[in-house]
Amino acid sequence: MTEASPIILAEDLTRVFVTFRKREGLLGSLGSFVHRQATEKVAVDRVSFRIERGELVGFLGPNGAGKTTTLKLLSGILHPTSGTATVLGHVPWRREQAFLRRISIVMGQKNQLWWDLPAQDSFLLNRDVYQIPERRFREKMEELTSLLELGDLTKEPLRKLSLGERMKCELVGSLLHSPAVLFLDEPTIGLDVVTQKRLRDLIREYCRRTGTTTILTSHYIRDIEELCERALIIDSGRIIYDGNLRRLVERHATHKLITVRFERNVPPATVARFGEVAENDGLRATLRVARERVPAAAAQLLHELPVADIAIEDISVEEVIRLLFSEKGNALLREGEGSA
Amino acid sequence: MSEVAALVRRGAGARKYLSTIVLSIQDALTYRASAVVWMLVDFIPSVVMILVWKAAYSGRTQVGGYSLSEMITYYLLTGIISGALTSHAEWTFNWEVRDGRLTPQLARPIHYPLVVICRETGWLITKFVVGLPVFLLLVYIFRDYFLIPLLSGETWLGLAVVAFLGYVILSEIGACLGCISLWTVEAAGMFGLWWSASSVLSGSLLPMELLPRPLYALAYVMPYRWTAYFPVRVLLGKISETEIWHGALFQLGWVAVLTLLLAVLWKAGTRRYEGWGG
Repeated sequence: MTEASPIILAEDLTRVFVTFRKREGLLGSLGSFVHRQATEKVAVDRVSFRIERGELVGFLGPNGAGKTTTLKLLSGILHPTSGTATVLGHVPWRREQAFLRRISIVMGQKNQLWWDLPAQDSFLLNRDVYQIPERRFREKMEELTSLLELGDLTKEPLRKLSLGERMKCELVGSLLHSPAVLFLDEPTIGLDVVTQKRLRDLIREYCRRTGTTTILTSHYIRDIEELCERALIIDSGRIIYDGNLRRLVERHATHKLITVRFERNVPPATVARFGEVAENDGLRATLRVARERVPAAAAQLLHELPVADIAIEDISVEEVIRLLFSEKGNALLREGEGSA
Repeated sequence: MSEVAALVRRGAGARKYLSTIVLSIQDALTYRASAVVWMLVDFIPSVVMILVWKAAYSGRTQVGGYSLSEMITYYLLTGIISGALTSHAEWTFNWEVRDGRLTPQLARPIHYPLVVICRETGWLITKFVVGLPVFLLLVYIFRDYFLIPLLSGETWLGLAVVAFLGYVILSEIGACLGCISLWTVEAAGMFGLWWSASSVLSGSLLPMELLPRPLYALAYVMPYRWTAYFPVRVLLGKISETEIWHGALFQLGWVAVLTLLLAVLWKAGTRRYEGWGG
């Protein structure tokens, strides 16, 4: 692998799962006992992309879109049905030790540390698994436990920790060997919003400090929006967008939001003349206005109504994504395909 | 120099498995009461068989070449040896495949079947040490019958070797059975069938000499007789030193066959593994 080669390269990566369908009810069960009906599900469909050293890339998509399957293919957990990939110059599913020692995967729904033992005992095992020299191990553990503000929690049995604390411990365990590539699969799943935010900050800080190439999957748009310059949006196993999320909004948001605060009550019918009303309580209204009409609508509002304050915003990333996953959005994407 | 470096690397590679055993002992010690209970469970069939045989011996001095004392000693030793050597790697395998815990393990620089075997080893060491008083209590209860093994130094050494190889054979069988889960997800029925056959064919339930001829022939070609039965017979002083080493060679043969089989099953199984459970 030369310096110019991408850290991760996927070409037409495809994975098909075969599932057996059981017919309904007891008779169906008996029938399936004799003859099972096999169906194929394309979880990842000819996916291609490249990721350069130090990038923090987010995979975004609804449940079952193929995000985690792509991650499992890249980390060597699954074999593809067709297509190729290299990570750090290795074919992941060959699972060479030299490759596995340089990557790490954290799965939000799976514990990798020992449940009944303190996390620090599992860390010692990781020291031997990844052959980390003692001094480096101690330094790294010190650095990570202080970055993640774990204190003495690593000395408590894992089962006694909260979900957020456990996830922090999982992160420490997976970073001790300073992986060159880090796969984070839904790391904030199930966490409260405050802990989600804290964990995002920590991941961002770690990646900034170390320049680790990181892929993050999440169905929380906030995770991707805050952490990743680049997002790959996956739906039904295919990449439907590859690029910056803000640019996605600029490209696909057909409307902007105008929020107005009035000095006195304004009748709803009057407000509705200026755009589609998203919210209105008489004193405060939010309007969806087509982008090209925004300057005119804002000027009219200021001129004709008793406006105390006005703000113009892009619609949220979340709304754009919702639009993308809708029929209308798919049509939009078809129009813009190849331009991402 | 590079050879030395390679050796050091290999040593460091083996250390992760040793650490897994140590961690598994720590883990098992958090539930030490459970270890004692499992040791008790292991001895229940032996105690039942002792009581049955005591009734069957009334008026006889020998059955199948065993005196009553030898028979009771046989079952007590089988209890402790089976309990200490019987790894159930297949269950761990099966659970972790079913609930998806295997998935992240595949992205670690480890050989998963070997890690499962090491985890079982830690558990068995703990069970053996914590459960030893149970064995000593039973020896005390049947003290009038228990024959203390008086063996030569070479026989003790041979016993250590054949017990270790017996353990490796059982662990590899467990791991091979566990690999079936990679195809079927649920393989408990298969395990039940295999281990029921094992209790008869390994000599745990009754000495092999007492089996009907066809079963004896079957037991002879299966690997099980090299697990519980063989070390117990060595401990009873029924095997000569030369036969012990011949037996160890047979065991090594089985270890080679099972290592190969495990490698093939693991490679093929992980190829089709679907990473269930998110």
